[in-house]
Amino acid sequence: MECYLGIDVGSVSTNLIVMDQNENVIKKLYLRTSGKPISVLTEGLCMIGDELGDVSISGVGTTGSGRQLASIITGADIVKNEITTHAVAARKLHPNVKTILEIGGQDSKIIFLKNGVVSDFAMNSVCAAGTGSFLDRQAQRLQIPIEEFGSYALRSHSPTRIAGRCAVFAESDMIHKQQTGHNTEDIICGLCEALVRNYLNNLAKGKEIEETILFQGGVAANVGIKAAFERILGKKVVIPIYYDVMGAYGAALLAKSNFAKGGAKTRFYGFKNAKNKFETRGIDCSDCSNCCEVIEITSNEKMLARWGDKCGKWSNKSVAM
Amino acid sequence: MKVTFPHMGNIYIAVKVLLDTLEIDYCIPPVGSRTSLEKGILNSPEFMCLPFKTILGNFISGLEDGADVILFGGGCGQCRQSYYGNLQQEILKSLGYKFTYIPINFYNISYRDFFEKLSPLMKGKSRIKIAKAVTAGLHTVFKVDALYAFSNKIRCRELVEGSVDVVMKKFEKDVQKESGFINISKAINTAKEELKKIELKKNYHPIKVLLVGEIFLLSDHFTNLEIERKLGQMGVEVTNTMGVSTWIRHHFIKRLIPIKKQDKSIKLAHEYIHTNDIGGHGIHTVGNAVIGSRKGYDGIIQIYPFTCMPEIIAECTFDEIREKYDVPIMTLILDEMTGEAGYVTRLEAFADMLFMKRENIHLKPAKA
Repeated sequence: MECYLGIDVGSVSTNLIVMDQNENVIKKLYLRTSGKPISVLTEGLCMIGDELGDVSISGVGTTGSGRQLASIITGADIVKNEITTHAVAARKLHPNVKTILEIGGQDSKIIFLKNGVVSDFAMNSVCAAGTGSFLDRQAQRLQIPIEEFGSYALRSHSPTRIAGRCAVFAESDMIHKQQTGHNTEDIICGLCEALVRNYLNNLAKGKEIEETILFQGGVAANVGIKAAFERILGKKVVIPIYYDVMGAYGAALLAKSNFAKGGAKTRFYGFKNAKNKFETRGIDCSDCSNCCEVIEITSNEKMLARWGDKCGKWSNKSVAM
Repeated sequence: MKVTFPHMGNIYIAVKVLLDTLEIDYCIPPVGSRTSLEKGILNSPEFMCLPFKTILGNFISGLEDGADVILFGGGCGQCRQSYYGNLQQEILKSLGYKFTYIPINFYNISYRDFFEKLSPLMKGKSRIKIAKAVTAGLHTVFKVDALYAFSNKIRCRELVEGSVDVVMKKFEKDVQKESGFINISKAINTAKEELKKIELKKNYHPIKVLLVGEIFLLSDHFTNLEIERKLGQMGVEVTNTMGVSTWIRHHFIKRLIPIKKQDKSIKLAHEYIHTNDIGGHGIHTVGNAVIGSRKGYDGIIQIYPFTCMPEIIAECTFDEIREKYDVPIMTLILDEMTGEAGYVTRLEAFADMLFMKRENIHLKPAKA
């Protein structure tokens, strides 16, 4: 069977999907990056390799903030940013999509489409309030499993008002409200509303949000946030079936169309390659006043790539496998 | 006497020519130096903008290298820039440095003021020599900016990726070693000739992006994380509205010419902002965005340093401009970060969007 592999290495989660010729996801993995993108990615590849056995991979696409790293480890055919991959995946599942709300681990974005083409987008600029990692942290502090966080919000009858402008302000507001006796459900619901308000103020900035509206990214699993969006927008918000791996799905779709266009053989190193040991090392180059922090990645003591230098002295020495 | 001055993009090349011709000893702070910036950050108020921190860092590096005179050209107007010089002077004094500070306020300056300000440097120099030096310096500013603009035109069309960068990196290296008007002009010309020799892709039509925003960030490749190079390598032809030459033209040459004509960008901005000045170059940002939209650029990118008030005001007009001309405008805010992943993602996504949008437009009439 000919398949395509899509990989999204994000700050919070690393997602892998395997898609068949008919663009159906036959295997998906949602793993926590836990600050160790390389080992999580190689583990994920091994898991898929063991489970699917002898699928032949015709193309690999990587995306997410770790897309370059992932492409070096796997030998990707296409490396694309998250906005494009999310839009491609959304358009595939819901051809009439006009607005995509995406909230991920460290950034959030809004994408507007006209006739299936991205016409405008915005990403959070200088603040991480209202992203998945902030919600994670609050769930941890309240000792509520993140999976149940949203259902707490749904049980609230009068949401507490929380400042959503800044993560620091939001947290101190939450603590203050909790100490004055507001119950947890109301605080969580208030937080969801604050987050949605902040998102709409920062990203949508008064632009028309038209239906069909898709909500994707890890945070889409949070029913509290979805409900808050629907309440504040007064419109229906749809959660696509692969909402948590949309980036990876989009990357796989792009790998497929890339293959269809060029027909070149994939550069994929194979699942077995992931069993190799990958190591990274930081080098503080002190040859000039830039003091670049160069990163070097090696596998079995063989140098694969170096990056992070301004002058290109180190990265030019990179070799492909 | 040894002079130091802050960086603002490629202005150091012109100042070098100026001081070389005047035979004044100087030291240039290291170009694009992280160490220098960190010194600036350490000694600046926390919410000050990135240009302030960069410039202060340059001063400290220069003074550490033995300079005792600081030459600084600051604008004025409603932006904090008008107070920058004074504040930086106080900070440097409190750090214990001894120096002569020559701030040149280009806003409403007369020629007489200009030469009076520079008098500590001009002692014993003939008027002819001074005039020659200023002319040579100005000439260099325009030549260098033209070279960079030309490199942007070539980069997006180069057949072998990185060819332009090889030439430009060599130029930047050489020009720091060279001195004097003749030698520096030669370096500029050589670079230009080298660029002309680069093989280009055939029948390639790049998308065109206009850069608007805060002048320091737009002209300084180090602080704007080489936006022109990054976009160029994605196959985008970049036009920068704010170079050092723009600044000189605005603040210096226009005062020479007796005919007072209102700036086109200010005039066009009036549809959205009913005043002539919102501080810094905010009003020009709005006007340039309108000019770019009318000229048919595929997209516009605004960049400004975090907390920059004039640009925040300018940004507010973009919703209307976007709607009226159906042109995508993206705003990028920069601060002292070194992690470029998020920055590159946004640029890449913007370029992707423009390419896809164009393909779609091209496809439509064909289908009908």
